Amino acid sequence: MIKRLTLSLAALALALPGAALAQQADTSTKHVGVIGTVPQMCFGGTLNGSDTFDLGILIDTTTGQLRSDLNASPKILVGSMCTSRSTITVTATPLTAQGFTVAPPTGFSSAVDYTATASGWTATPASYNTAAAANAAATQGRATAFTGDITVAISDFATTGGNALRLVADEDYRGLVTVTLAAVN
Amino acid sequence: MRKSLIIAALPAVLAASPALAQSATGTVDITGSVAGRCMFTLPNKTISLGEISLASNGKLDVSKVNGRNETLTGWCNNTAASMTVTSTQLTTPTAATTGFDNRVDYTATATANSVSATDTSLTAGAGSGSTVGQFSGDILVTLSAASSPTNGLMVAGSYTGNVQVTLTPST
Amino acid sequence: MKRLVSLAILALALPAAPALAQDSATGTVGIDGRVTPVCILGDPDPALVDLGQISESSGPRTCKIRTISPQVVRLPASFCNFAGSVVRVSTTALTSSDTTAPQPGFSRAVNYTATATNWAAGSSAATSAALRDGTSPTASGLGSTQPLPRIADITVTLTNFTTPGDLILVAGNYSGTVVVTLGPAAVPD
Repeated sequence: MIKRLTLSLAALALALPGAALAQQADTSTKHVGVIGTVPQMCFGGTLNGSDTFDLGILIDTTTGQLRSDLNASPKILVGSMCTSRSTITVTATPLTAQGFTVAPPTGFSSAVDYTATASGWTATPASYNTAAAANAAATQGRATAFTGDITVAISDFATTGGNALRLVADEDYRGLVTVTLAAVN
Repeated sequence: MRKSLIIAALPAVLAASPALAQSATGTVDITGSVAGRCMFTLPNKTISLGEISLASNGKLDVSKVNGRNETLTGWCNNTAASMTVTSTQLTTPTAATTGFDNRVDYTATATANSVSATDTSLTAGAGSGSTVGQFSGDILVTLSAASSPTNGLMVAGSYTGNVQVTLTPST
Repeated sequence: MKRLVSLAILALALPAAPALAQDSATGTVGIDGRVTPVCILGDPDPALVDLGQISESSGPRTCKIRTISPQVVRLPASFCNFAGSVVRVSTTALTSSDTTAPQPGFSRAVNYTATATNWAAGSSAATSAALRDGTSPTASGLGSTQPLPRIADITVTLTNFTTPGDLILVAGNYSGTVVVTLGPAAVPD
């Protein structure tokens, strides 16, 4: 009678999963990945106080010319932030008479130039002069994410066309300073 | 004094003096007997199945059981000898919870003298007997039809069972 | 002369005629086998938890961690075929792919808790405790021992997403990992 051979050891070795691997058969490990994103975002902060620089009366009433001591307290943008590197840009428009919209007569001006600065964000403040042909310093860059307060100030007032000109009367001279934070890729 | 020598003699057959006479024959019957017997000359073997669960899913790997065999040797000296098989399931002591099995059932077939007898471990007791007759030689025991009660995961541990082959001289 | 010829015949001692014997003979084939202790975790579903944008876009919490609802991951039909197993959970905080140290007021790490349930009594949990710069991101926890062989769907729930100091989150892609291990209760760390 022919006897059958029993199973070889090779078959037994196949039954032991990963016997040569570090993990034992009695232990199983699984990984679950977790992902999310935070977008590049800037938040301009919250303006502390009123949103208007009130310069009051612009002229020296004895001369009718622009006062030389014009000043306004700076405005603070509190809690500004950018989650990535960013640029800060300041632009401004001259103070312009809102009612007297026709060309002023000779010897008069209906606009006041000034410089607006935004500081606290970058090492060099961003600045913009409304009379300048170009404002290279209007945009400044920051290489890191940042959160902090931005101080916006206006200064260097000058009558458009020259300080010898007199300003036309108008109850409402108005200009606009814009500060922009932009996230950079 | 005369002594008598008495010889106690067993009953003896005295041969007649050899005169011319007719011969006589006596017969001694001799009788003996040989009892019907069966015997295993190689009564114990072991089938080691090794790992009986599938690596892929932890369930019973029937291929580890089906077809496995071992050979005992024995003899029976009478034509009426019969053979029965009693299969005992493989079990491990650890309890089987929901989804698990701790038992393996199978069918064992013993073949001797070209006659087979089977038994399944699913039912207790021996299977039906077969007349194996007068033989001397191999008794091949083969396993088949392996199963687990719920086809569930096999509980870890050592499993043991056995197949008993009984040779009976006469039915 | 008579001659006695004695023929002594011994009475033969004949054994009693034996009864017909019923001596069965039994041979035994022993069978042994084994089942190796095994644990297998089901494949996580989902395998990747995508939280999307994790910061607020507006309101008082702009750029800070938003409220993230619990995230559930199932490991179906996980099993151990032996008594005395335990689930271990290891939680690694989400951190930004930008590894530069964050500016004051910022965090590049998000901590959270991973809790595994439905294996043994109670749960296995771990809460990451990364610092804002992303260091010490991993924490582990063990649950109680399961005293029986078991097959079950293990549930892992991710909750409690927070930023160290509730700081502003640095922009970028964040990733973390939860590692679930199922094995003997005596497994060393």
